[in-house]
Amino acid sequence: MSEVLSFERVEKVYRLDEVLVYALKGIDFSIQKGEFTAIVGPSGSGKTTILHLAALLDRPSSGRILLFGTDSKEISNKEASRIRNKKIGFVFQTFNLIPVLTVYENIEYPALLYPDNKVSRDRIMELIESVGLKGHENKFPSQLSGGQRQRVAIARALVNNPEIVFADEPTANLDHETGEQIITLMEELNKKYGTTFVFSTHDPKIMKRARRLIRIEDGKIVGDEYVS
Amino acid sequence: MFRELKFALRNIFRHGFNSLLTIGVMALGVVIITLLSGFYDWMFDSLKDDITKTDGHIMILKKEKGDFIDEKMLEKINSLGLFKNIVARRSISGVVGFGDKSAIFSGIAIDPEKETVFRGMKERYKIKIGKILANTLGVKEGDEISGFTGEFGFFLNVEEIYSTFSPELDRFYLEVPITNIPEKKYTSVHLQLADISKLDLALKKLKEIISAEKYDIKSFSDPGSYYIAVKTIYSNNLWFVTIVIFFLVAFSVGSVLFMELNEREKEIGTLRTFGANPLHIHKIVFYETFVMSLIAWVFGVGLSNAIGYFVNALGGIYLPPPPTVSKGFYIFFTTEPKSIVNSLIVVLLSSVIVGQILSFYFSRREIVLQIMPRR
Repeated sequence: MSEVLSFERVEKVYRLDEVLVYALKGIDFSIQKGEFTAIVGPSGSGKTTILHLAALLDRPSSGRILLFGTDSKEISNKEASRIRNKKIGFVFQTFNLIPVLTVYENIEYPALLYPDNKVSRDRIMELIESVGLKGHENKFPSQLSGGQRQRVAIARALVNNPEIVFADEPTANLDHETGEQIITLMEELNKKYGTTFVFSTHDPKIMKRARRLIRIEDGKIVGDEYVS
Repeated sequence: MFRELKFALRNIFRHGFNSLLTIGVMALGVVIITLLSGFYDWMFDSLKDDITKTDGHIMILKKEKGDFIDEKMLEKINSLGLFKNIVARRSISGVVGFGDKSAIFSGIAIDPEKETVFRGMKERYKIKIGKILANTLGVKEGDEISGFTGEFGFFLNVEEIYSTFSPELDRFYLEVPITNIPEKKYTSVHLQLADISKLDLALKKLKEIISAEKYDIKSFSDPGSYYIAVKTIYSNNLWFVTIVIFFLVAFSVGSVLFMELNEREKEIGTLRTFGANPLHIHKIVFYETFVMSLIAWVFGVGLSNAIGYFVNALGGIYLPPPPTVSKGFYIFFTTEPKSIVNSLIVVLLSSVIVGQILSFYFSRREIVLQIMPRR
């Protein structure tokens, strides 16, 4: 397996008014291609910050992040946008679907941003079928349940065949049964397309489904284990 | 592009009331520009028509030390074959009397028959006397008055008492039939072109046959002419209104769009998470402002035409005359493609510029701040 992501002594400091908040205090870990990893820890421990940094949505205060072998500091904003579009998928806790777009259009949208994305209608329909939403493609997000919305969000994250998908507490806004279904779906997609998944959660039942657990508390990694 | 327009339309309709308000202000701007331009254009046409019917497209005026214009010169002008009507007039001054009263006058000698044709009148042109001069002499329409100048004496029937908004003109003005002049010599010649597009050619030809030292050749559209002066004043007025509307639309679109984009900031952050760069955000906002402008423009042009049609059907709007013009105007509405295009440019530019300024701000904020749940 090849390494797709690596954090080396990564620190992230925020300024909140006059106070400095140390969100990450020297994080080290790496992710191999095809992994199905959960970053777990209590609220405010730094899980979301790790995902934001890994997805090039933010820059570290110090340390080094290697994404697909490139130091994130050497990636320009313009190039970061391209990488986010082509190599990274992101799933939000609150789904973040575009309300004026249908299921089909929401999934298609990232593919339309760059003309060199060759995504066919068949590919989008295949994704819709993969996430179990066949027949819902012309519905708007307001016409879907929470679970269905998250399925759309997952399909959207996968539309450009990314190498890695980050999911920030993808089940937090769903009931347990739906949450289980979403994780099952992510597992299936991980196996079917070989896409690397890194997701955060603080739900013990969901974390049991991961093949690797990175435990984080107060901005530090306190455990990193592969589970069968 | 069809897809972008479709998404823009959906985004506009999702903010129903806000968008309606913005489109309403933009449409109002279009209505004001189109109506005002329409009225002004009608007025310019009317004024041009009035001026060219009174003084012609071109005037040849004897300079103070120049020679009088004679019949030979009139024949030369006529031989150019460019003019449909030519009238000659003679400035005169002297003393006029009625009964035991007399007064000095200043006016022109004219040929009423030719003036009738020149001015496109259905009834014969009436010989006029200024209202104050008529009062001074105590004459009424139909009375016969007599007078003399340094060259000739005359009798005439007062056919019309003439009132302008210039008391000085009314105090001295008198028209005398040109048949009273002993010699056929004139101080001005007024020419109406058969084809207005040949104005420059006519001026050029006239300058070839008429001495610039002795005569002034003026066209109704000369930079210093009355027509151009009036047009300039009203055009500047329209420019000022247009600029005010530009900023009004910009302010209105800006404030509403800022609220909308602020509400949609998480959405913008989401799009950027999926790889949208600032240019993509600029594009989205461009299409939205473009579509809003188009809707407002279509609605505004339709509304202004409806108002214009209604005003025209009611007989127009009366405006008092500009200085030295005897009668006021009933202005009507006319639709000029130029004003319709101008109104589109104004709303489009103002909304698109403001939209792009705002998208510059929203597309460059930190993504993590945009996607974070709002407190």
